[in-house]
Amino acid sequence: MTLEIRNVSKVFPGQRKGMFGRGDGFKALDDVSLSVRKGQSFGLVGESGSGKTTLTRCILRLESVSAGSVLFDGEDIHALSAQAMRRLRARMQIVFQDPYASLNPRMTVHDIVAEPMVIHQDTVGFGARQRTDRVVELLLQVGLRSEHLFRYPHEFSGGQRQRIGIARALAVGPELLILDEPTSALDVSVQAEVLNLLHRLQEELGLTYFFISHDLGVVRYICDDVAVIYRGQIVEQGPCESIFDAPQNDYTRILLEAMPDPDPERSPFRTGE
Amino acid sequence: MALLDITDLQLSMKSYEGETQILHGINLKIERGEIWGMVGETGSGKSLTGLSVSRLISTPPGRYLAGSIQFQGKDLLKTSDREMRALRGRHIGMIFQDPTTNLNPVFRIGTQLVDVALHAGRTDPSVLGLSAGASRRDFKAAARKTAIEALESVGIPDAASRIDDYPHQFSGGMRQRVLIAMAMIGKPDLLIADEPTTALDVSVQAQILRLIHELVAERNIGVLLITHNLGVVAQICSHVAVMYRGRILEAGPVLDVLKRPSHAYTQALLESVPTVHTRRGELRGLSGLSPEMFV
Amino acid sequence: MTAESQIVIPARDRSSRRENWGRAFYRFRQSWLSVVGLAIVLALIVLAVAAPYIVPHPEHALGVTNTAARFQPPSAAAWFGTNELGQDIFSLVLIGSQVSLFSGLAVVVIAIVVGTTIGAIAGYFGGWIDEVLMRITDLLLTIPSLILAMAVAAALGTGVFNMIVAIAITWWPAYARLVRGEVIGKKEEQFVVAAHALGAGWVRILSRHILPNIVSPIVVKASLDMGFAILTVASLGFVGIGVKPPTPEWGTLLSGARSYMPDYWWTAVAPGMAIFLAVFAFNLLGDGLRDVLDPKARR
Repeated sequence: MTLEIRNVSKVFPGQRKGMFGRGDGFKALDDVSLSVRKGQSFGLVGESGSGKTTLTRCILRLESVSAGSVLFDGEDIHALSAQAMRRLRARMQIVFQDPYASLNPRMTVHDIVAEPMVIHQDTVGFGARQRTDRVVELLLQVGLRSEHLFRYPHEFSGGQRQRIGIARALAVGPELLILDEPTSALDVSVQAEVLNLLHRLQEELGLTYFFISHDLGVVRYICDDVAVIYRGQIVEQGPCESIFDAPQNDYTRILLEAMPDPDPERSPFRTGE
Repeated sequence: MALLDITDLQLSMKSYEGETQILHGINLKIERGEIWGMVGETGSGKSLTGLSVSRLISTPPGRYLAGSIQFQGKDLLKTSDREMRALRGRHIGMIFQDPTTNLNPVFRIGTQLVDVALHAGRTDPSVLGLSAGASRRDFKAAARKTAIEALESVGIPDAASRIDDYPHQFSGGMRQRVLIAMAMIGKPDLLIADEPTTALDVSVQAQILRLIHELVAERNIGVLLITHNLGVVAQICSHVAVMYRGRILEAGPVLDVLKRPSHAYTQALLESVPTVHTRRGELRGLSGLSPEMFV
Repeated sequence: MTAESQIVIPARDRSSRRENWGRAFYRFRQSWLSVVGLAIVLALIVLAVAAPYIVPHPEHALGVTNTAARFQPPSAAAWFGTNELGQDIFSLVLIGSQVSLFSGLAVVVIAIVVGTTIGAIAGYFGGWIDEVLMRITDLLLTIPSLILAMAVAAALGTGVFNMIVAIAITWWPAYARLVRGEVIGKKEEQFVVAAHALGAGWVRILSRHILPNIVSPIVVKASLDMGFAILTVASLGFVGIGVKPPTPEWGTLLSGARSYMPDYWWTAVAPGMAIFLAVFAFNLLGDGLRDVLDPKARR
């Protein structure tokens, strides 16, 4: 078991009322439990406001949990010391949704991809020259070229930027990649290329994926297991085939039906034609 | 005479790098009752085509090299700004991608809708059910009534009281409905929708698509729906035009184009969408295709 | 694709950076007013630096007088006329620009350094640190800079250095507020969250990720402030607590000319125009920079 989430709840405090009182809190996560198997892809499906972003932040300890625990390789990450947590971050990386916002516009590709190695210098132990070599190796691995090394993010297309984001995440050799809607801001053909890249990297490096998406088609394509989250609760989880072919929960069914099917003959509006 | 007839539209844009041609001769004909989907990827020029129809591209930096956009027989590229403003409020409705940024947060929904209704009423009082000589008070009352009806027609429950709410009191899907209501107030003949559901959840997207489909059936309008989502096109469009780098590669009825694509690019696009049968690692993408093949 | 064995690491070339500058200047050029502002500012700087070598009477700035030529109206010999001591006003104004520009720059630089440090820390950490720092800032904002400068002059004596310190004390709070707001805004940006997720510490996040991305509003404010700083320095000179004579300074020159109005109007016109031109040019430049550096146009 690489990542295990046990009964996690997260309550955001309500607005202040008067000098001491507080209004009712907002329960973003309500008793969420799930486990991600090593080397597999786990999909988390939910719409906006479902709590999927909060859950990611809790997994990365960018947010505290109100109850429950997040276990990474058997260790409760919310109980770790700051020093131990910093070391653990090298083993658990994230790729963000928006390739335009997730790269610092004032840094070159080299500096962006090398940054994790600089931060984790004590564990990685690379000198400047080794870092540059590793950056080039990573760029080639994600399908970019060494000429791109000293360019700035704005000189790249959305798909290329997402590749830079993936290279950065891979820099310190993580075991778990959290993919927060990594393709939802991309064109379909580019999405296809990035999904293929992710698949190839998983096979080559034995990565575990925690894949967050609202696109059921993509989740079905890339994931082994899936959980559906609605208003902070997991309403259904299990192997992909069983959830997609025989959904038990009403909300899952609504989601599946609402997915626009690219086959025009299956459109609900075209029955009369 | 077609409702909208774009012939050989060529547009260039000036920037730091110099002048580049963006649209290389767009031809498109939309009749009443048709929903045209315009699909293409980033930079294909699909949004600029939509903006050209509503004449929302400033010149400069834009420049039309050739072509015409005939709307009900009138060339929009030769219309004065004043006339164009009247057309936009009345005969051409527009909806954009992000429902949050297109409503002014400091005004009530009603105020914004009434403004649009008054604007449409000034060019054509019959929109508000009035004759030309009606008093200002009549105009105001009729505008408010029209605004409420518009909200009702897009399925907002309890429209008469919700009209005095502020935008932040509505959910994303409801805000998009308000924007559609706003676009429909002038009883337009043509609706241009630029990625109207991209910012919305899938369940809300389905509702908005149903709404657009109903409006077309009810009012016999023409729609130009700009999107990157092939699923959306397959669902509600009657026709589709596939754009790539400022050209339309393939156009026609949805059932023909999406079921039997004749162009390699359309095929590649369709094979880029993962389906139930796609095996992992076998999505196609545009690999193996070079841009020159399409021109 | 096949030649993967020959990995060539390109030299860290400057072309990307140069292209960024090229783009920025292209946008800047779109407004001719800002180009005018930039031209005047550059001209002022060049003149100030070169002044001692190009003016006809550099000795007048050191206190040499020529009473034989008192109150000469503008002529080919003395372009801006002469003052009550027979000094060439053209020479005085040009050399006086050194003090005005230098003190204006010094005030702004000190205010930026202090204000950015305090604002960045307050904005980044929030909570009680923010409360304490911002209340101090608010307190300083309530003191008018002229009054404080007078108090400092009374306590420590007049002089350029004291004047600069006195103005800077009342100026940094504005930068602290600006920077605090920008830092709070940038703190939620995805690339900053990404840096957190990588395990970066706060010094790294502030210095590498947040501050480089808020340079633009600081630069814009600084260039708009330069005009006001020059004006404030001149005001202090005018009321007599800035630069000590005989060193020429625009405010002092204007103050001296006051008693000879309107008969010897040229004694006031030249330094007045100089102040106007400097303030005007920096404002135009600031407006132009704001257009160029607008983060929304930067995607």
